[in-house]
Amino acid sequence: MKMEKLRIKDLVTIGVFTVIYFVVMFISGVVGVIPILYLANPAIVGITTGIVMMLFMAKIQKPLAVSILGIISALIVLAMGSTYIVLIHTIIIMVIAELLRKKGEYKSFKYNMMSFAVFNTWNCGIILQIALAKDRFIEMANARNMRQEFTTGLLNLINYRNLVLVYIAAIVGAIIGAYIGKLFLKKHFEKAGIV
Amino acid sequence: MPAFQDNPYNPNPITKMCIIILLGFTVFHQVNIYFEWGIILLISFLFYKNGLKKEALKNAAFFAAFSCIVPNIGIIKNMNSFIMMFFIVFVICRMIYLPYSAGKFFIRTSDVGSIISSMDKIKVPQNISIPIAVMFRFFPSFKEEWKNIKMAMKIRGITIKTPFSYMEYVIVPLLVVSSNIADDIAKAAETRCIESPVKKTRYISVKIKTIDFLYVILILVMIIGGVLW
Amino acid sequence: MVEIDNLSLSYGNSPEVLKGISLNINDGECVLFTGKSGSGKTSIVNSINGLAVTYDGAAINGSVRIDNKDIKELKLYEISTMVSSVFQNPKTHFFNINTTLELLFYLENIGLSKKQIDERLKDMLDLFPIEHLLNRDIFKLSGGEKQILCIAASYISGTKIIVLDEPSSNLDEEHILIIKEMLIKLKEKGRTIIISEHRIFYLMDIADRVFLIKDGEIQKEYTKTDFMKIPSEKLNELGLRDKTKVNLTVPEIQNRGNFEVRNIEFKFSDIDNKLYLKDVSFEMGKIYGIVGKNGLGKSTLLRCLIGLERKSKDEIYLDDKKLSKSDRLKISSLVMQDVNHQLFTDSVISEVSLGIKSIERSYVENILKKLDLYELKDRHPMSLSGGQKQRVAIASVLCKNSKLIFFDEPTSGMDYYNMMNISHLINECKNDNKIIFIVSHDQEFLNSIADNVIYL
Repeated sequence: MKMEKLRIKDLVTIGVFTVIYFVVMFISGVVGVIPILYLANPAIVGITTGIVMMLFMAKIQKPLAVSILGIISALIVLAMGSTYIVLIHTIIIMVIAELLRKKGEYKSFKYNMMSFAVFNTWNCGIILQIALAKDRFIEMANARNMRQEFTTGLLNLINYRNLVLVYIAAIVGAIIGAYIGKLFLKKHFEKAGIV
Repeated sequence: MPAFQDNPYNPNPITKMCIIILLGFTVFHQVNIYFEWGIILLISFLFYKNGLKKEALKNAAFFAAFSCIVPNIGIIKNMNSFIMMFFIVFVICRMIYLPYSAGKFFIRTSDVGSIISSMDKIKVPQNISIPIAVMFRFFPSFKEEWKNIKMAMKIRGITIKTPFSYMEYVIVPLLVVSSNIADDIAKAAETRCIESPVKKTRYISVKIKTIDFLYVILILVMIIGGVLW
Repeated sequence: MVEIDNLSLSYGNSPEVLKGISLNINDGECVLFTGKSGSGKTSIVNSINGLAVTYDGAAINGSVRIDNKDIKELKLYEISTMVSSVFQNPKTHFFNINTTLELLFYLENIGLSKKQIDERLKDMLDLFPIEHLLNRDIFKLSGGEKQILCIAASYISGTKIIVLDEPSSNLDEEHILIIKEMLIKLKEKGRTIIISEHRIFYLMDIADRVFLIKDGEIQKEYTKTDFMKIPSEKLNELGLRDKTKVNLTVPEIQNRGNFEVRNIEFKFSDIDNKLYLKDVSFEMGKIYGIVGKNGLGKSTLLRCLIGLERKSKDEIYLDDKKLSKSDRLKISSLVMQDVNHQLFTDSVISEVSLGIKSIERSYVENILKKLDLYELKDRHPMSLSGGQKQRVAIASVLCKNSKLIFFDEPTSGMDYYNMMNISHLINECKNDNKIIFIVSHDQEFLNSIADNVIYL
């Protein structure tokens, strides 16, 4: 199986779809203004961006396309004010997602779906960095004499067990999104001739 | 729209991006509050010198606001956990404020031409620089197409009252129209030899100026100072 | 020199679009390919610049040679060093946001030094004084200005051959004349100009030879003088627009009628201009053309009339009763310039009845039959051709049966035959209970269909 190179048409498509993906992701994230719902954000994003990503994967059946979209999205989040953790985390996620895509020869729905499920967890990076910064937060809180109940309450929310739940929710959301995407591919995009 | 930012107080995009990454360090490590203020004021100064006076003020004002809320935790500690949630948001905003501030500076003072020239200079591979260039090119078209589609929906009487159908009716023409635009952009680029293997020159040159050195050194000094203090 | 030898071309499994075309084009010549829509003239032009194979997925037999090189063996960027392309729709065919960067894009890509680029820029500005277009946001340029920029970019790239595909499609008269001047200058500089057009009046001073294409074959080759001898009616029969400029003969609006626009005021957000309309009345049962230079707000006026512009101040009355924006929305239908914005469902029949409460299936089917769409009723609207999509949009307008019907540039890029078809279709919509508004810069079209025009 040869490694197909990305042509100009593919790179332009990646740019276009990154914009669409990011906008859909951003709007879905509006829900995250309410703090606790923010933890459900990756799951919701998975559901809403499924259509866009499934079409994208059908349009470019070559290596690296999905990774580039993910990494550029992470760079945007970084430029908007995040830490390098998001970037490193995303790169690791993308490697796994690419391997899954390759396994399905970029065509199989099953493997594309699994790839998207992994891909979607890059959104957890933002929460991950906050969890990792928890120590700093505790420091800050103690430096200002916050009450013990508060910090314990906080620890209860942003702990590693909940983080795992966020990841699992992200994967489940993405699987739902992938099925919605498949539906739209059949109902609309394949007939419209843009695949 | 000033395309060529020749302002001597405007560092080049690479520098600005590096600063954002450097400031990520402050999220995970305690930095003395005075040094943090130093960084904020430096960025506000740069906003001011680049003609964004409002931004300069907003930058410092928001930082002050977020910084003051945290000490008041002692007062609200008896409030119920729901309200505490909101304060968590403020605390997180405060923690992430420094990279956010540098990020805002980057976005507001960098023009597309310079960003693309910078990417070329640090030899970013084409696989990444072309999609990024296309994103800048596509985003205004995207907004316009979305506006047109919403107008068409309004006339047809499609409202948000049926949310799932509404989303279907928006996303389908949006993706079809966007695919077509992508093809047109690619044609335009290829017929102007974008794929030529010759090394490309950039009309807009990105230089390293004094301000780049100053910006980086000052920030580094303040981060290291803040950690050691 | 371009040598086309027995060129045949087909897309996918469809029948051949070009059948055995053979011709030569000499250096410095200006050659016009003309014919009905779908005749194959665009495919010829796309074969020369290499896009037919790489983008449209065409399969070709025979050969196209440029300066003795067979383009089948060349990559697209190699062809692009010999051939520059100017496209039909300037709205999307650009890569950069800054106009200067878009102009110099080719020069950057072939690696010229900054000094060389500046020299070429100066040389181009001596020929085309377009300083006012430099260093601007390309999105703020009008279609005509974008097209001017594109032609200037083709010149500055220095390629010997420039290929243009219906460059006047979306332009108003003023900009068509500017393009004509630019092409004359290009010819003086010795460039080879190859154009595909059916709106031919502005090319009569420039073209050396005219090829009439029909059904994928060269029906006839004319020299300029011979072509000028063809009478207008024969040209129209062939599907072409007139070879001399047609003037608008429709009388101006008479301000009678019960649909009164007492006042419309709309301030544009990005330019220092206002749209004003005061004390104009329209009669039921008539078709009104809205004309004016591009960029002056014709489409905006449509949107204000329909009630889509939230920021407009308007006082519009029907039978002396004031109509709010939402009132007008309910009684309006619009066929947009780009119909792709208004196709939402996955079958023609559900598309046409979308948004209309309680409509009878037989009523819908009748309308589909009238518009030649019945066989396509289960097809996905986005899979249809441009003309078919437009008819679907018109069908949904007929189904909605609104009082106010608006068309925005319905004949953009259409040849004579299709333009007359749309004209007849719109006449079918005409009704004593309706007013039809058409924004257009197509004089021949308005002459055939409008009762009155209003100038902006």
